[in-house]
Amino acid sequence: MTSPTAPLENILQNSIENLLAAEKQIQEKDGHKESSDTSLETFQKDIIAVAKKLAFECTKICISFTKPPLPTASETSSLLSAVEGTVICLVAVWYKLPANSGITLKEEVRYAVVHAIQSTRQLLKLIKDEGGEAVEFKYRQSTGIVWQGCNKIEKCSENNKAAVLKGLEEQSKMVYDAFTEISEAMEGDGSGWNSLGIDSEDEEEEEEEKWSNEDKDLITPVVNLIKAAKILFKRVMAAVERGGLCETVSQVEELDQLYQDCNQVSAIVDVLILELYPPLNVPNMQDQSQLLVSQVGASLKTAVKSHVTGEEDQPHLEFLQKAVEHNLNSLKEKLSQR
Amino acid sequence: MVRVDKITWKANYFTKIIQLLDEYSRCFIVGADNVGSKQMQEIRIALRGYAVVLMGKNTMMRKAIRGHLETNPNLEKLLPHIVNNVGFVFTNEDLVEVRDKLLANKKRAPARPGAIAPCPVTIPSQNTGLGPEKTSFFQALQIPTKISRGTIEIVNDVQLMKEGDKVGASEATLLNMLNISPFTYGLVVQQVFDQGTVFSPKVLDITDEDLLKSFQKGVANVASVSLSIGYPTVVSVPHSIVNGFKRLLAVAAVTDITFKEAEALKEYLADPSKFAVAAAPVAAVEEAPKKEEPKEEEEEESDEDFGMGLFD
Repeated sequence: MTSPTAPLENILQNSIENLLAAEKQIQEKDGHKESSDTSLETFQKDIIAVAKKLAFECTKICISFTKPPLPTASETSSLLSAVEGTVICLVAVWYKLPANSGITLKEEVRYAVVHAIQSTRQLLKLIKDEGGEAVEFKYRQSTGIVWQGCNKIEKCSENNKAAVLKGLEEQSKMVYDAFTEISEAMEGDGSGWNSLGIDSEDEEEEEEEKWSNEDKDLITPVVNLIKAAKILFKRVMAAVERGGLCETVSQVEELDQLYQDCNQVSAIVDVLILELYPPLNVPNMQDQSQLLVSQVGASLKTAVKSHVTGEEDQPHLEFLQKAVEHNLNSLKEKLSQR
Repeated sequence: MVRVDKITWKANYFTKIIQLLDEYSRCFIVGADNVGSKQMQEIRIALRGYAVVLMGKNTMMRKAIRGHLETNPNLEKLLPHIVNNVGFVFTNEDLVEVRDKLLANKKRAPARPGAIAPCPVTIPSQNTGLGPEKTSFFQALQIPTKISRGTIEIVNDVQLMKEGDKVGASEATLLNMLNISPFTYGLVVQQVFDQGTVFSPKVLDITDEDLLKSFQKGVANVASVSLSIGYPTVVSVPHSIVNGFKRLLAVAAVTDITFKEAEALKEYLADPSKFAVAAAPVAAVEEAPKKEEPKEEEEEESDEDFGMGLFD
């Protein structure tokens, strides 16, 4: 069946392609000026204004196509050029983000901008592919996604410190969750970890694997390592919150480095826990534990060297370093006795 | 050799998750608090042919997604949402339809001590049929009762709990005695993933009114800008005309110049008492000062011992 918007197909397709080009440009090219004459405050004010405008333009499109009569070709062109104009504005403002405002902040803004353009493109694609009133609820949903995308731009962090804190918070929640998961498993024998809860016809009947007492004893120091990783986030986040600054390039870079180091911890913890579930994979557990110790160590070192930690943080960070070393040694000792 | 097979067996679980990620273009992340295994089974049956429910360990889900990022980098934004008691509902069908099926499979459940009330709980006035020996249960919660024909009667409707309150042991016992199951539990959609985008489920319920509200807000902004820069547009002209008219009235008010629309104003200024009846007596309704809710002190995270037990 031909879509009611078929006569407008070329105009819509043209806009879709233009938006895709804008999206790719932001994803692939950086080109931010080192000495941008735009301050971060001005950048934020501008990008919020453009995001609001994009949401409004998409609302106009949605309303125009939801109820009959469908807009004419010239009306559609006018609506779409307003959308394209706003997206071009968004791209222009994106490149005004000062280059030295921090990688973490930049990535957060980049994601939000791409997301907003992508959802706008999807709205246009929906109109092109499906057309007509029958799918008006889909138009509304698609417009809602654009609003959320634009809202994400408006809610972007105000500086690199806020962006780093936001990222650390996300990572911290995942590490906390992983620690809770393994702690709960340690209360039992570890069986049933592999249940995916998919319909029983899909699940093969397997013999349940369990931990032996010896396994659980061996796992204990590893669980303590994961606990140390959890505490690392609490300490680092408190330090960044209290002492983090973005006044100089080196402060911004230190925050980025700290985030990059901590950012890898969650993935290592997840892999380590899966090696722990029965049947316990001893060599992989050992490797991952070593990797976790190195990563926690690297994060601690970065924190200590950076401006975010003060004298009052030193004893806590040293304590954590000793704790991870102690638990790794304890694991090695237990393995040698096996 | 056995160990190698076991390791392969472990890895196969990731293959299953990845198959689902490839097979379905959209999914919900659902909260599964208070959903028992029987209810879960019923949900699975209700969704058969429409969607697949996946309830794996969070660590396993996150690892599978991280391993799949090269193929589908958009999945990365799902990771922070895979925490606490959550699962996935994969589908290729309409999202609203699947969400409605999840809502239809909510189950009434008795209030358990320690649970957080997802809705307010009110006990309606009624004869409970309970003997006078049970009065103490009502007294413990300060519920006014009277004995009527040898049984306890609740005199008025009583709000037992507000949304978000923790269910206490007394509340749970009383509700069970009265055979009231006040809460409904089921899989609750927390996030939606569709064609590479993660969004809130609120989007699924956007109405025409929401669209118009958003549109009007935009129009108001355009009108404000037009008025302040003196650039007339379709949306600012009505405001400009009204503003001009206001000025004409102001001129008429202070001069002898008059025109039809200004007459009522002039008449009023000449003798305001003529219009006194027009203003209805304002009832002296004084709002009772709102009781300030006692601020609940933020609960400290109880498990945070900052290092205790690290050297066990």
